[in-house]
Amino acid sequence: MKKILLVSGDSFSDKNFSTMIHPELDTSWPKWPKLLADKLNMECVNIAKSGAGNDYIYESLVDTLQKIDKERIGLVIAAWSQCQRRSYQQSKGLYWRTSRVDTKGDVFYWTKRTMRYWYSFQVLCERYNLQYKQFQMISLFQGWLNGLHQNDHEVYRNKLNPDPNFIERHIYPGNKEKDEKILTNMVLNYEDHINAKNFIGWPLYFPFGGFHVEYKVLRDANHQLLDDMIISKYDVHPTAKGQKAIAEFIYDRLELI
Amino acid sequence: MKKILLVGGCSYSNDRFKSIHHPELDVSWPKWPQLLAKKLDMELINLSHSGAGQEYIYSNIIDKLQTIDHSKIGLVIAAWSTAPRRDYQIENLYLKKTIWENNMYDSKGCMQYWIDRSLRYYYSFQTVCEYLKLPYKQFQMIDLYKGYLWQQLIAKRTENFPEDPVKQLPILNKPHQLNWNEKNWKERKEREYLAQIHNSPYYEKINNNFIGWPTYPKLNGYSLNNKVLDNADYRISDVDTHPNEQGQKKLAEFIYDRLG
Repeated sequence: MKKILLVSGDSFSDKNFSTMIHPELDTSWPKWPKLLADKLNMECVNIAKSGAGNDYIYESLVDTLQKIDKERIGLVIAAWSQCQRRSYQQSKGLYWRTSRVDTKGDVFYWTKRTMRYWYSFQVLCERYNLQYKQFQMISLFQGWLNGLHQNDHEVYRNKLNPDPNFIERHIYPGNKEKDEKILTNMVLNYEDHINAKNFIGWPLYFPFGGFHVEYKVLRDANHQLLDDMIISKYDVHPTAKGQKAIAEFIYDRLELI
Repeated sequence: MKKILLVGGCSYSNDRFKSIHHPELDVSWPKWPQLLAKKLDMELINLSHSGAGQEYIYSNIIDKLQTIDHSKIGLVIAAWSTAPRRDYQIENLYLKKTIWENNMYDSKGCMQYWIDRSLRYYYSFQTVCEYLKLPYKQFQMIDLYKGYLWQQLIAKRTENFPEDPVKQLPILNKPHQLNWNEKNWKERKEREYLAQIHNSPYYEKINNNFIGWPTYPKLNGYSLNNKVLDNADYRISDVDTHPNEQGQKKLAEFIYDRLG
């Protein structure tokens, strides 16, 4: 019986991803978790969800691990998302919902909360001797500091009826440079608690040899998004080629590690 | 050198507890973590905070564990709070530091989710302590969901029900005060919530280090608030049901007897 590759993440990893900005586009191409599972000759259990925050990614992994015989697990991967999102379950069906921006706390808390998820996920896997990897699929807090993009509904609406005054990004209300330094140091200072050999891209920042996967795989040497790797300038999710590139990139790092 | 007793909890465990309903009352009596540390001859680090929910308790314990030499830890205790609370951190510009804030009720989610979230915290706490090979205990100090049900019932009976929990008067807190519809509604909700705990994947995974698991008598468990503070003599008053000096002593003895 094949071992299981268990993956949680956001829209970059969602097997059912569909683009709201280009609803006519068939996006049923294989996503990186399936491509990676095939390369590893494993069965893919992909619980990633579009829009998910890090609460969902941690909680869905812990829940799912309770339901699978641990002997069957070949590899567990957490592909972390942006820190400002907040996921929760609603109604009798306990459907997962995500607020794009948590209405409580600030970017320092959201970052610290994610760091606790990294640690808790790592401890869980090590406690049960599970093979695991984790990485930031998209930036942890830069998306927030650089000004969050309008959501896909708003981008789609504006694409249909362009508004000359359309603001593509919100403006970060704090001191971006100062806060980025503090946040960078928060992450760097957490190194003692992170098993860097299982954290692909640690410590996240280029000057220190780190990265998040989207930045490393879907962009050129000048950090510009590559046209054939992303759906469009409006929707920067990975194309079929982008998904393949992500799968190969992660696969190569499994071997290196 | 003495070993460390590390405790995280809510107002029932807070050594700086103040009574909101009786601000004039001197409540500086020793709280159970202090009494327990004395019995165990350990040095106390008490992270408990009035109003705290599960995220505060879990986060503060694991943050603190990352700053202490683990060989100095004698015992770690999580004294869990009520399920619906929301904890978060913000930068306090006046104090120039990050502080924890708590809301009595999370504006997102529903009780089933808050119960599940609590169970994940129990399991994560258990996993961290076992991984680090630390002696630990955990228990439900106050009821997971009954406070929320009473609050809902009071809100239904009260015109212009205030949002601020401090201004919410406990006009109901005894089963005989409920009418037939209210009693039925409460019982139905309790059945749903008990089923949520019983059917959870964590139900069988929480081990014997959880005193009173699975926290409800109908499931053969208990919370310490119900089990230990079983008469009015152990509480401050009818409106402030926090443990008084006697209640704190009872809690410390009860926990001490179950450390094994």
